[in-house]
Amino acid sequence: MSDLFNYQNPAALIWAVPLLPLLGFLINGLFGKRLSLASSGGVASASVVGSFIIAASIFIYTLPNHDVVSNGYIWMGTGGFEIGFRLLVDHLSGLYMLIITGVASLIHIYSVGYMSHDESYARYFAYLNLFVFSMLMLVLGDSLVTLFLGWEGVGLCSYLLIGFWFKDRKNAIAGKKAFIANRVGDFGFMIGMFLLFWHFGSLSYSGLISHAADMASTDTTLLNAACICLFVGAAGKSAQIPLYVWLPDAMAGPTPVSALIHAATMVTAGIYMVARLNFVFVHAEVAMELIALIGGATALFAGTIGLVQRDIKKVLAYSTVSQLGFMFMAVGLGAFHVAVFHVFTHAFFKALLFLGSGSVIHSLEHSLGHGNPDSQDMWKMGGLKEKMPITMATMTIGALALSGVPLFSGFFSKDAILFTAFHRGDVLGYLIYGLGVAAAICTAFYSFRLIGLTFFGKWRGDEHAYAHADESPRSMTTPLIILSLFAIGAGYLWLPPAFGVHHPPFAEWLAPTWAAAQAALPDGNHFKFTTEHDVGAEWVNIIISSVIAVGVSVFAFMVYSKPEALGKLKKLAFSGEGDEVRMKPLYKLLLNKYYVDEIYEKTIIGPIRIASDVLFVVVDVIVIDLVCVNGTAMLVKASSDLGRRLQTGYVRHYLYAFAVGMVILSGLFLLIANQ
Amino acid sequence: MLDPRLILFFAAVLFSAGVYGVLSRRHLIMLLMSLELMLNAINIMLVTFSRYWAGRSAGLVGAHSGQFFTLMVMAVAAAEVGIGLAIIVAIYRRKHTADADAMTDLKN
Repeated sequence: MSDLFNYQNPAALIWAVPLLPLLGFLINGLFGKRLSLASSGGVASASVVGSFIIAASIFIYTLPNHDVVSNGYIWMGTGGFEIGFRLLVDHLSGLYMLIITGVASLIHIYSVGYMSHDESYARYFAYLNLFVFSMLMLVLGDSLVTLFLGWEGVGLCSYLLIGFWFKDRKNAIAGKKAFIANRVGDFGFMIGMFLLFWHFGSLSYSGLISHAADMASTDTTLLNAACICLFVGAAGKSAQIPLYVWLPDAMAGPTPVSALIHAATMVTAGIYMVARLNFVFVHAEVAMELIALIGGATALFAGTIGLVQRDIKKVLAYSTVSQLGFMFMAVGLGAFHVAVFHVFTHAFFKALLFLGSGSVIHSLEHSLGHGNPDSQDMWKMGGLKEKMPITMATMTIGALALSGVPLFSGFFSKDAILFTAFHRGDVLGYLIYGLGVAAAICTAFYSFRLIGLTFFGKWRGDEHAYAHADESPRSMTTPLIILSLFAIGAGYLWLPPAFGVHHPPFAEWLAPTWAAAQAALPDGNHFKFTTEHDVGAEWVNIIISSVIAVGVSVFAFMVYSKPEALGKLKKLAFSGEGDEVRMKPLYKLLLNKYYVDEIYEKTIIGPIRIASDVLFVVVDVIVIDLVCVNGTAMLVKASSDLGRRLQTGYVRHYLYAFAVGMVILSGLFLLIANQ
Repeated sequence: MLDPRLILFFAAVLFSAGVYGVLSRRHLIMLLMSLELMLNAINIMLVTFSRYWAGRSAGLVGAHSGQFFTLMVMAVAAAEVGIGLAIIVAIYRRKHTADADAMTDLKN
């Protein structure tokens, strides 16, 4: 107990951070049916808020450069192999811990209002708490194995929450899709982990980082292979090409879940893992280039799909995929700190946007009925600013941050990513920069398309629904207001050098995380952080991105907030008159998400299904059922039928056998003895 | 002195008669009697071996151990007959027969 109150070393206290949500999960999971909505939500929120308070106190303790390792025990140990079960709070995991518990606290409180009409609220809060626990285990574990434990845990919770309304078959299918896509990634992740273990003989961060210095001389083929495998895992969890397909479908879950899991926290786990292993990745040049290219491609690809989606949550989902692409762009260019900065700012404004869309949906569902797709269709909204001023104001702030309008948080982080690409100065750098700028144009466009369609112009849906639309309760608007403050302010932790800030607190804070990798890199390496700043180039970059962000945002807003402009827009997307209205090919291509789902269906899922049918008939029915299982039974039956005849049940027969045996044995004995 | 081979031959005949009785008879009491016959054939053998082949140098107990063993076998046989007859009586009361072939309760 004395450890618990030892302010000099909060090691024992770390355990409380993940265990409080676990306790909340147990209470809600075991006794949830007997709890009222208020107490169920209260328990869940209190456990996460408590966890946040403890996390904040530990974070403050670690500020003056202390890492904290909790007490623990040896989880698996055989010979030289040892996996500890310990928690580690250093600057990277401490930051993640704060983001997770902070955003989760707000979303739990929001959920009390959002889920008030759902009967399974206890199950909902139990899953949500279990998710927070798993996510905290993911970031706080001190080895890749503990990370993997959390990694699988969040995958499970994501599956459970996407399929939360499982009575609708399409939600259950969406959950399954997420789980399977993640499993594909996990497989790669595991192989990457094994490769690292095979070569370095350790899976704990401290064990791996002790090899940081000699990684430069390690076989690069092995490092590239390991890093690519690990990135496959990250691509699954963080929704990158080709495994991104699950994230848009994940919107089948309740909206706060989308905000917490599929925007702010879980999907950034891939970035966390790569950032955590930065000292391995910096030596894997090929893997890094691949990551940067896939990140850039994903950012643009998802951004273009987001341009035409009608479903308000789908827009945000593709936006999330696109923003994750931005983060991987930064990671692939070696700017891990910039990627983590974008994770940080993105967590606030994307959670804000999702919660705002949830507020709209919640309000419309009152009259449209739960699960009515019209409550999410932006083309059947409009003019909601009169009805929901707080939601409108906060969501606009979120959209400004997302578009990268100057002085909002997204501007600083996105600008830093683009500048990193620009500054690299080779073909790859300019290619990534081009992809990034194009994706940024899409981002600004769909953000303000969303705002314009939802809150401005004329109502286009059911009149009755508009009359009943109303601002959400205070438990939902308060988190929106808090998040919007962060969406404005979070960026000021890292102002660019062009603003005269040479020691931004955020970058300084994370510096120890990269120290080992940076020390091992030779001078002149791509991935070495530079200390000199090209202020002129930076201003050019800032001006380009500002003009793009502001120009495109204003344009999109003008087009989509005016009813007469919408008519003209239709001509762009559709051709023909009356009954022969047809979608133009490009619009159709984008609306159908480049047919990726259909391509996967034809090329991967279809053949697997056929192969499974064949395997079912040949292997399962014929080989296993008929030959192995029933065959064994028949063989046993036939042979025991033979043996059964020996057992007549008459004592006399046994005695005969006994006597005959006796005679034979004595005869043999005499024969042998006489020789 | 009597030829020990003659006595052993007699014991072998007695034992074979017992084996034949056990194998051929179906009545439980006849089985029990045949068993007694076999036991006594063994007793005769033991006494014969003891009398003709046990060394004098083995001491008083060693020289007569075959005969002591015979007494032991007789005691055990008496106990066995007591229990055996009791079981037969119990079976007869239950099944109204003492035919060994009728004892097929464990079959099937």
